Amino acid sequence: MISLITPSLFLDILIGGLILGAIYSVIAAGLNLQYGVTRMLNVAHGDFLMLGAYLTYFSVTLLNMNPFASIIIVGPSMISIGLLVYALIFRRVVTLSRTAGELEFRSLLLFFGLSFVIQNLAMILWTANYRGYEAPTFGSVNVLGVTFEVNRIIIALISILINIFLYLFLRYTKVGLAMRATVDQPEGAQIVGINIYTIFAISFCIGVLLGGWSGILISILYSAINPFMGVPYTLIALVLVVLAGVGSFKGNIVGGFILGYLAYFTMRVIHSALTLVVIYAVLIVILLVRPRGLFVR
Amino acid sequence: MYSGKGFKKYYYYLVGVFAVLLCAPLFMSTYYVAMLTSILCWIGLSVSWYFFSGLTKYVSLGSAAFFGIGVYVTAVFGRSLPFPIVLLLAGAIVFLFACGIGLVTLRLRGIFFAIFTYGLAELLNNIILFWEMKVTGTRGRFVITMDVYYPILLITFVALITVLLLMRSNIGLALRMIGDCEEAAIHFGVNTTKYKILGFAISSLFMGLLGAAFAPRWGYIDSGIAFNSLYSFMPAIMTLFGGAQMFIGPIVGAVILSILEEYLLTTFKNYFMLILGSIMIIVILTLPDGITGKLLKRGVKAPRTPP
Amino acid sequence: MCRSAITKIQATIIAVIIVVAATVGVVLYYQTITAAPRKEKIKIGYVDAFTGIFAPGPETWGTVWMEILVDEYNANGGLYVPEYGKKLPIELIKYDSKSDTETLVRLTEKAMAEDKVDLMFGPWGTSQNFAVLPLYEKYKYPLIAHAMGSGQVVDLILSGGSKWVFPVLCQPPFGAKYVVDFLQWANASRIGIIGISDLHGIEWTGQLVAELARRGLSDRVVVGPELYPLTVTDLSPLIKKLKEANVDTLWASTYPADGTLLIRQCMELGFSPRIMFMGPGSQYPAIMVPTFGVKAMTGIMEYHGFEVDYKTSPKLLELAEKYKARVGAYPGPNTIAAYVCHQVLFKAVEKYGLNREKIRDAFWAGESFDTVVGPAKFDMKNVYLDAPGAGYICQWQGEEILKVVWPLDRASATWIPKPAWP
Repeated sequence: MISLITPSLFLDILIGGLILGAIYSVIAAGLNLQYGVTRMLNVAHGDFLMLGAYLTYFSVTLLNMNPFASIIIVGPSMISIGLLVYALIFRRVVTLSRTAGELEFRSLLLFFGLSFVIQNLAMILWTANYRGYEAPTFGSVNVLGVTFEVNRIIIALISILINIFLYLFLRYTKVGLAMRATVDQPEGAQIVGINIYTIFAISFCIGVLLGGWSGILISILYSAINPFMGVPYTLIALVLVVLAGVGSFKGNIVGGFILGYLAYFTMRVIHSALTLVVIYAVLIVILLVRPRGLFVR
Repeated sequence: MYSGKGFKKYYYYLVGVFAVLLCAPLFMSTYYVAMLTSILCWIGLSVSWYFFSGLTKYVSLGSAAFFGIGVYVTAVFGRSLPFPIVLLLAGAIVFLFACGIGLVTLRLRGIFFAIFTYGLAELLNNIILFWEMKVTGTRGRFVITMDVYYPILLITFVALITVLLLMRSNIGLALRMIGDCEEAAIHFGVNTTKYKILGFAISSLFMGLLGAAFAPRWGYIDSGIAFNSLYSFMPAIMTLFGGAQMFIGPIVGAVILSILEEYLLTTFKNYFMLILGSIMIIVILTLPDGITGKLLKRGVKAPRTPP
Repeated sequence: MCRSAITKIQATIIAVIIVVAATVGVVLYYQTITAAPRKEKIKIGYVDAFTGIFAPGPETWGTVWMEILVDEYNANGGLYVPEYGKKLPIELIKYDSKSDTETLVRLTEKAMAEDKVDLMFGPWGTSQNFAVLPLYEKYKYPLIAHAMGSGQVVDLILSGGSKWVFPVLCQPPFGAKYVVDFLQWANASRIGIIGISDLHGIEWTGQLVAELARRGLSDRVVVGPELYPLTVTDLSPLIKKLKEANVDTLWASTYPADGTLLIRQCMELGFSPRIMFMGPGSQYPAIMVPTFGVKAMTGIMEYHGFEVDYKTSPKLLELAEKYKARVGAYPGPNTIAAYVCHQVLFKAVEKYGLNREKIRDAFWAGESFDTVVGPAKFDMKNVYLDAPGAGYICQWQGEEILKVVWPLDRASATWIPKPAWP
């Protein structure tokens, strides 16, 4: 089962894991941000990813766009959807909940309901038939004897860029600063005059946006779009949040790469069917040692 | 709230309902008995979920894992061992497994626990699939077919009564203290780890038993069917919907949602999830503590937890 | 603090709920048993996953075809039933199992025992068929398994364990035989076997390996069998393994999602085996044409054991166009099995009436019924629906309607080795 680790295999794993990890970290970024700031666990995250994938599909097939460019459509759409959902559903619960724990509890049910609604709406509107579009491919490159698909490399680079943008946003803008403050000390943040409810809304929308964005990327790689495709990605995002430590941006990236390496290594060297098992085993070990995740706030 | 005269009346009502349900198959057709079996199973699952997650506020999304283990035990041993032994075996395995999981994960903050348990069912699915593929070479099994109404009825009522009894006891008190404010409980000298693991294991035990008893309804089981994520979030949804503040919440939630679901599945096939999801959202928005939440506020002032 | 007041309210609520539920139950029960007997139409029950994670299955496979068939009959006045001496319109009663097996079982029993439907259309998915099989046996309905593939059902039927299930497609043990026949004919030398790690993938890869071993060809398998999880997002590690081993024949038991991933990554990594088999989904123009185009798909084959080239007869082409009108793309070559097998059922009804036992016996006797692919009969020794117009392996050959390439006596075109990716 386990083949010898030759230099080229090592390189393959080194870069392959990196690429996969970059993608994972983008998938989870939105969820991590939302939970970190608002303490609401968005189990419908994968469904926003699905919406992003469908929007990309329509942009490509109806408007003849390049999928990489479809962020122009997907971006504003996801933000609008996020605002709508937040205003209609979550704002009331946020203002009514007396404690963070209560909010966590109640919002969970809301997100499940939302997940059902989004999935079923997608099914009614677009049927459960698989959809796909012709994605641009650029073949593969040879790096020191190992081949990698250019598409994946591009997506990994975009993912890293997204992470950089996010980092800059959180670190240097007023809003970003306010968000980080809210993650650390919700009460303290309120005392210094930050309007938590606005911050909640913004974080939620950015989270939805990131979810949709990762949907674009996934749909480029993986062309079987259907209303229920988001479910496995929710799991990946959730596992990553636990691994990384809640609300930790660094953790999200590092955790993403750890996950990516684990998955790639398992598929390449051990046996693909054990991927999730290995991930969970490592997760358990990490949690035994650091119960709050890798990077604690 | 759970002591004294009022409580005894509770027991009488339960016994009365049990007696009525015992006779149900005599005047109901097979389909309605099947539906009742399903409703009872959901009640059992929801109340078990409530016992741990409702009281301690550690939201477990891993019910499917324990239920699934029960299902799988019946699938594997149902033909070779007598049914009661199968149930005992399932219960023992689930209990031990839950203790193990509890030891590892109950040290985590609440939401981590939720996330970890969320993937548990999928993890077990993968492990068993791999095992079946590589070691035993089997691909799913036929289960014994038998009428499961009475086993499910029995297990559900045992679960209900056990939960009621335990809630009045040390465990129940400890779990509720943990749910209100875990730090305070620790300061009071409560061994929170022990009680959390015990509560979690008992809750999972019943889920496993229900799974083992419900399995014959499937006819054919493979690991994907056994670990269906539906059983992960429905107990949570039913409890939260019915109200997680009191014991009757999960019962109300389970009954209403199962009947509603049945009606929707047969009448509005394509819109089932949409309507269910919308109802869930509306209920939480208008009745944040679930349907029975308002009841608590009427008689007793709910203690305000410090933010 | 009024402790007993709360308890009373709680108890009252429970009592009210139980009473209401019981009343509703009793009322509905009496409603159904006193409902007027419906001799004015034929009721067909169809319980399947119309929502939930399995929903793409029936949607892409059989539901549309079954609706087309029923509509065709209804447009002509209905289905002729000899015991009433006239045609009766068909009503299709659909229940959603929401991708949950227990719900499927429960609602199937409802259709059979409560609604007392005349006939049933079976569900999609091997495990789902197994789950409802005991009910079909108990209530005596023929289970025309149009979307099922399993060695276990073959064993079950051949050992006499079931009289009511009729698989339509070539089941894996038999299927593996014809695939290996083909592989030998096409001189496959270095074989790689991969697949999805669920029942379908496990069965087919397992049977293939076993058949190759039976013929002493195991040494030709250089990679695999290797199965990957349903949630895979990157197949490049596997593809690289295949490429390194110079695999010239790829067997991939894929589903639509990972199938498209596989094709895309093979294109990017430059892996193009001479012989390439893929699983369900890879033969659906609806998914593959918009994603890759017919040129890229050329050479890829699929093996479901009921493959029809729609251009071989005007009636078939007409049906394909009907399908396209509803769905927006041509049907895959094998989904028409869902149409043909139920056409067989309807023809059996026209001959034997709604007597399900007689229909069952006719199927077991191998009686043939006229269909769009010629006289079709259930071959219960090899356990599939045999029809002269249906082959076993199909191939993309440059257009949206696939060709049948095996067996040679049923082929509509000669097999071509897969060209390099465009």
